[in-house]
Amino acid sequence: MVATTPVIRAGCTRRALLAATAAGTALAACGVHHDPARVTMWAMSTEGENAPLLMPAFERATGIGVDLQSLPWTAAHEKMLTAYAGNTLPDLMMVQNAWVPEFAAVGAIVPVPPALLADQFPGIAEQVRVGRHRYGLPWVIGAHVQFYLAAPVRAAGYDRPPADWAGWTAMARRLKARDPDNWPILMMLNWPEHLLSFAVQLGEPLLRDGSRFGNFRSDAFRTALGFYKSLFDGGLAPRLLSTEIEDPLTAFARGTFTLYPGQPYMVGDLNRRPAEIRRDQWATAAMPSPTGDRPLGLVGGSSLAVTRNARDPARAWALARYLCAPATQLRFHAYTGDLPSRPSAWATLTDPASRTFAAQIAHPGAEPVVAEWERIKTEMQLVAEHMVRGSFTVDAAAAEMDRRADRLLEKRRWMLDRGQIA
Amino acid sequence: MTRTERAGMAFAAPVLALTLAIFVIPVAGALALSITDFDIYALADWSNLRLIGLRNYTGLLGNPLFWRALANTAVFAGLGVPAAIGTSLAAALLLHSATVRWKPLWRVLLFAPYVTTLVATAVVWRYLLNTRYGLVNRGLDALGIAPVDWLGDPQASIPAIVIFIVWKIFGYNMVIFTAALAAVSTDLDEAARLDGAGAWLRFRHVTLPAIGPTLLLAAILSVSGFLQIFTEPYVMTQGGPAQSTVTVLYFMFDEGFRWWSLGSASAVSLVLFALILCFTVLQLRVGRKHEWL
Amino acid sequence: MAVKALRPVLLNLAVAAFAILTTIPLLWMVSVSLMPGGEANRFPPPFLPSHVTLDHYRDLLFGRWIEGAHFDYRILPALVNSLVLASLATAISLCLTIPAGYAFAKLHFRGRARALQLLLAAAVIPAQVAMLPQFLLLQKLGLVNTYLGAMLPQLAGIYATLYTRQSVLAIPDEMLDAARVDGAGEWQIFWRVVVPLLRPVIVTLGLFAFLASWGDFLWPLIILTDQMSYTLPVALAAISREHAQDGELMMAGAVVTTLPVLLIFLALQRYYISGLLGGGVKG
Repeated sequence: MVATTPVIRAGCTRRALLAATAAGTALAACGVHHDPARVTMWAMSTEGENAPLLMPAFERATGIGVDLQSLPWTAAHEKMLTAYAGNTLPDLMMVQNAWVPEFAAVGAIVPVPPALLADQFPGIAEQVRVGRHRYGLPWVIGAHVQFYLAAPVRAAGYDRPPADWAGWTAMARRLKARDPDNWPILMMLNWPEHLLSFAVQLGEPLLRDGSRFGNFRSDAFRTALGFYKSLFDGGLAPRLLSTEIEDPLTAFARGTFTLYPGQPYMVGDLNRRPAEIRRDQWATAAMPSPTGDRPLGLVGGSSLAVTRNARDPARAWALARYLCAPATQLRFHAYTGDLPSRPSAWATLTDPASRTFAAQIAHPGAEPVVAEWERIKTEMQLVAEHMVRGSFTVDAAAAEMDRRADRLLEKRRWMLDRGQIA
Repeated sequence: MTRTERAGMAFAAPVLALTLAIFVIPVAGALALSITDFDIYALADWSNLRLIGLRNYTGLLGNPLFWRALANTAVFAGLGVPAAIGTSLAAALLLHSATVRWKPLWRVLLFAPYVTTLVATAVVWRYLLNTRYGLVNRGLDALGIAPVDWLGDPQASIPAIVIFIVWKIFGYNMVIFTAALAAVSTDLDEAARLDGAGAWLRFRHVTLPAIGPTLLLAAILSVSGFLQIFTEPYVMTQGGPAQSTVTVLYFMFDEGFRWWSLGSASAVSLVLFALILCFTVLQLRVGRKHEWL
Repeated sequence: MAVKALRPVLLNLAVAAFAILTTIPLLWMVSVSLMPGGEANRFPPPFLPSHVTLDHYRDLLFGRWIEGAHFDYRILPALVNSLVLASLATAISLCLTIPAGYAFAKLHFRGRARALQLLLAAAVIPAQVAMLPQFLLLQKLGLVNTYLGAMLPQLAGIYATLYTRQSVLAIPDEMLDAARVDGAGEWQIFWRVVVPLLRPVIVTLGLFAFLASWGDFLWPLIILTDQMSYTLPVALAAISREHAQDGELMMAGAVVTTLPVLLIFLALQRYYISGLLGGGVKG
């Protein structure tokens, strides 16, 4: 049945197959090829989607091409750490200020050349300082303020939302009474910013002992926690996760929510929907503080950092310098609503919302600057969500948050004791 | 060495080498990792690594989220396995019935979800299960039932995902059961019918015992599948609401690749391994008993 | 009596209803992908588009130009990545597992029984257990974010080897011995006698390997860090986090991700079903 085929032919087939397999494997071992002359950059969400608009000018001026990728916020942290672990970080990376200590601690990002560090807001500059160096060049900054619909607030008898907690709650109750089918306040149950914005107002640090232990059981934090809970219990805010409400801005525009605490990028998003909501229909105000005065706020932002995998740091910093130049930042502001990190760029901002943000940025509340903070924040909000859904009382929730924070900080305590980190 | 021996070794070597390198050695690696506190600090500098013995495991036992993940996974399996097996059986019985026409068409349509890409259909069902704009609630509305907050109510989130999973996978066992039903001896069935037994009695006493082993084996295999749910919570609910859809594998992914606590994540993976192993051993026992393997 | 006569009608209606209900999500997916933007977010939700538009596909696949800047969802690279990865993984794993299955069935060598036990033991290990150390291993080898890194766990092909072995066992030894007597080399026997007989098995295994690689999510999610190297499922999941409000766009992405495998399945149904019933392959 099998003719005596010359060995050569069989050998050819086998060799051909082996060669093909080897070639296939070799091909597969290639990664994605990036042209080394181009700068790779990662940005998130709104910034990532709008940054391409800034690139043509840079490319024309310098001849350096840019490959920009956009990551969703919810996956950004893990993608960055995975890329760090796999040595596949981009040249330039947008990093949330809260993450800078973490990435600096593991050596994922490199210090900023001092020449680029002029013209910064003091509070923001502190957020990116780790030890003696600054590790990120602030790019966009923001503060947590409330966006509100002018008409329902006026109809409830107020010119603007009251500045103290009690008055604010009273207004919300009146809004609910007038419109029981809708909700006065929108606060996503999986975003820690809302609870944090109340917590930082009381002036107590969120971690104690040089950030070795959690301080959630402090009276200050428990007060904030109780206030946060009361908003849900009082029927003023719905128990919603961000995954359940695909388009919150449309809901805001339609009047489903009257008060929507948020960030500057929402200015850009709202301005992009003139058909749904006009500029005169909404306004911004600082978040209420316990007594109405001393309005410390949640201030943060994102910075640009050059990573340790950068093939040509000089080019990457050139791109960073361009993106952080006041003129570029103003253009970006026009596209996204994001606020410039350079104080010098603020002089020409005209939108009344900018005044609210400026006032808030001048009074930043203190957030811990430790590598574990992102995770502690996430755990804090998870416990807060359970509390809002009835699984914990305020005191039990605070104790649980402390327990989890202490567990997460154990390694840091060990390394501090060994003197390995400052 | 004879020529055959040489050829045999050469042919088998790549697969064996890969198995060793990709499975056996990494499992040993997982064991090793699980007794360290490998984390992001250690990733930066190996001197930050500590051997901590069983502390990862005790930490897991004391972590309420771990128990939550176990409980959620158990609920997924407890709801999903009967639902999936039952739906597959119902579909198989319908397809097996002699009076049904156009079987090839129905079989393709009923099997189609199984072949679709999981991520894509998870995205589709996320919209289908939307409380306001989803078709599922619209369908319930047509039947006069109040809308359910499928992906927003911690009590309804697991059933919601189970509905999706059953839709996705029932075709697989439907094919298996159809073949098993076809193998049922018609003589016995005919004799029972001549004796005057109705359809239900015939099913209970002739069909069911004959396909019983197949059902059992399929059920056990299903459990293994349900123990490894990850994509559905990742795409549809991100583990929420209130962590009600965090499964053991999702918990492991979070620990390992989101927070880079590789030590405790390895401990979780080994716990998962032990759980799946139990069911695999059970499957092998049952299979051997009924001469399936 | 009347019930008896009705029974076939009822059963046929039941099957039809069952099948239609099962297909509705897929039909709706296609329908919404053709709707104009924003239409799906209406109450009550529509079933058919008011007018058909291919805008979402165009945006998804080819991006948009705004003010001299190019916005790209990078679905087309993801599609190419999925195709290349699945094809390479299938080809390489077939090249590795078919000879191995044959060897375990017909070529006696020292330690074969032990090796088979090793395979059977390793088959029990769920893929996720090894993932963390696998990542560290690939990191050391510099294979993070590469095709090889993404397909490596799949290449070991234990089930495929065992399935091949089952199928080869059915080949009579006399055939192979006769060929040996004729003076054919081992490779020749394999290539000219066994492989032609295994054609349906090869198609079935190739089909399963391709579909498994295409739909693989957790491992590519971990190992592919660069948007340009994402496979379709990973790209789709990433977009779904950011663009949840663009239901129509997401449905278009879902269609692009799942249509190719649906078509392949329809073309090669009988191989797929026979593979399922063979019992040795995990679908």
